[in-house]
Amino acid sequence: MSRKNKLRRKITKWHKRIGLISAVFVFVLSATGFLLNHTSAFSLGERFISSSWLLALYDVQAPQVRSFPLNGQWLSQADNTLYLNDEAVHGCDGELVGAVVLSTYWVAACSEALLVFSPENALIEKVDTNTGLPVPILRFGRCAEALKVCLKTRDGTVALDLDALAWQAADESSVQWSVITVAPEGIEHAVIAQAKTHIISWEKLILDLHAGRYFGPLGPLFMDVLALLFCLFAGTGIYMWSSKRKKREG
Amino acid sequence: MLLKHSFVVFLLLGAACVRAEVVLPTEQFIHEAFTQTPKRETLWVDKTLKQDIAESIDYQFHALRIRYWGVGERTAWVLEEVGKEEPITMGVVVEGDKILALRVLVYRESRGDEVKHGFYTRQFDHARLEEHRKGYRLSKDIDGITGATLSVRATKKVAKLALLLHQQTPYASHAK
Repeated sequence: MSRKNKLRRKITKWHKRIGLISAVFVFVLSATGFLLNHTSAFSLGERFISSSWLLALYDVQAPQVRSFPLNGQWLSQADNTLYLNDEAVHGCDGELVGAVVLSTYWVAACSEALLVFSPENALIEKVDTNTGLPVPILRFGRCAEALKVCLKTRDGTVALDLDALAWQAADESSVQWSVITVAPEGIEHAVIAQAKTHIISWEKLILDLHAGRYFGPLGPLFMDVLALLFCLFAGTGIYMWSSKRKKREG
Repeated sequence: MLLKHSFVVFLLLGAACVRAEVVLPTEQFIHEAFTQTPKRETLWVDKTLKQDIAESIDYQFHALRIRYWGVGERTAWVLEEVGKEEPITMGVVVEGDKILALRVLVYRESRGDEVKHGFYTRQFDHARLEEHRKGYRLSKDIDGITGATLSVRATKKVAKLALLLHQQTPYASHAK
C-alpha cells in the first residue's frame, strides 16, 4: 500500500471518529442555537424551571421571606416578588417595608415604590420617584388621619393622600406602623416553593447549555476543543473530497 | 461542588450586571417638556381601554390608573416597558397627536443602552399613530440598533402607548 493510500485511510478513519464524537454536540449546539435565536417567540425568558434536580444543579437556595399581616392575610416578599398568601401579585422595588388596608384599596410599601391594589388585588398604580415619592421608605403605616398612609424616610415622616398624590409632614407618634411578623409555616413554605420556581429561566438554561457552562470553569475550554474538532472534521472532509476527485481525474 | 459553585458565580455575575442608570431625572424631563407649569392629571384605564390598548398596539397595561402632566394640547407621560429583563423608564411628550420628544429616563438593562442616545430617540419626533391592519403603527420608520432589538421594541411600544393614551385625555385635539 502506497504512503498516500495509508494517509488517506488514516484520515478517513479519523474523519469518521471525529464525526461521530461531534454529532451529539452539533445536534445540541444547533438545537440550543435555534432556540436562542427565537427567545422572544418562544417566551423563554419568561418561562421558569420548576424541576427540583435542575434547580439543585444551580444550587438555588430558599430565599429570605419578609412578611406583614394584612387584614387576616399575609403579604410576603421573596426575592423581588410580592405574594399575597401564596399567590404572586407583583414585583417589589427594594425591600418590603409594610402594608396597610384602607377603605377603598390596600397598599404595599417597598423601599423604592408604593403599590396600590384594589380589594380584588388588581394593581391600581405604582407610585415611585417618577411621581415625586420620597425614597427610600424606611417605615410604613396607617396615619391617624383616615385615607392616608404614612411613610418614614431619611428626611422625616410624611402623610400621603394617594388619590391626590399630595403629602405633608406628619406626627410620627400618631402613626400605626406596619410591623414585620413571621408568617405561619404553611404560608412561608408555599412562598418559598413559588419563589424557587421563578429564578432560573429556560433562556438561561439553554444559554448555559449552548455555552458549555455545565462543565464549570472547564466549559469554555471544552467548547474550544469542540471547535477544534469541528475544524478537523471539515479539514479531513475537504482532504477526502479533493483526493477522491484527483483519483477520479487522474 | 466545583460545578455548583461556578454556577452560583455565573448567577451572581448576571445579577451584578443589572444596574439602573438615571439618564434624565423625571423633574428635569417635565421641566423641559413644558414652558408653563403643567397640571398633574390622572387617567383611569378601565377594562375597555385596556382591551383597546392590547388589541391595537399589543401592549399589556396592568395598572388601573396612570398619572400624566398636561397643558394646552400637550401631555407628558412617564412609562415603563421591559426591554429584555428589566424595565426601561421613558418619558414621552405628545402634542396634537404627534410625539414632540421621547427620552429614556432610566436604563436598567446590561446591554442595548444605545436607545438612550439622541441619535436614536430623535427618530420618534413628529411620529403619530396610523391605522394598520387591525391596530396602529407609528407613521415613521424607526431604524433599529443591532444588539438592542428588544430595547428598540420597548421604545416603539411606549411611543405608541403614549400616543394612544394622549387621545383619551381632555388635552387631545379632538377633545377640544
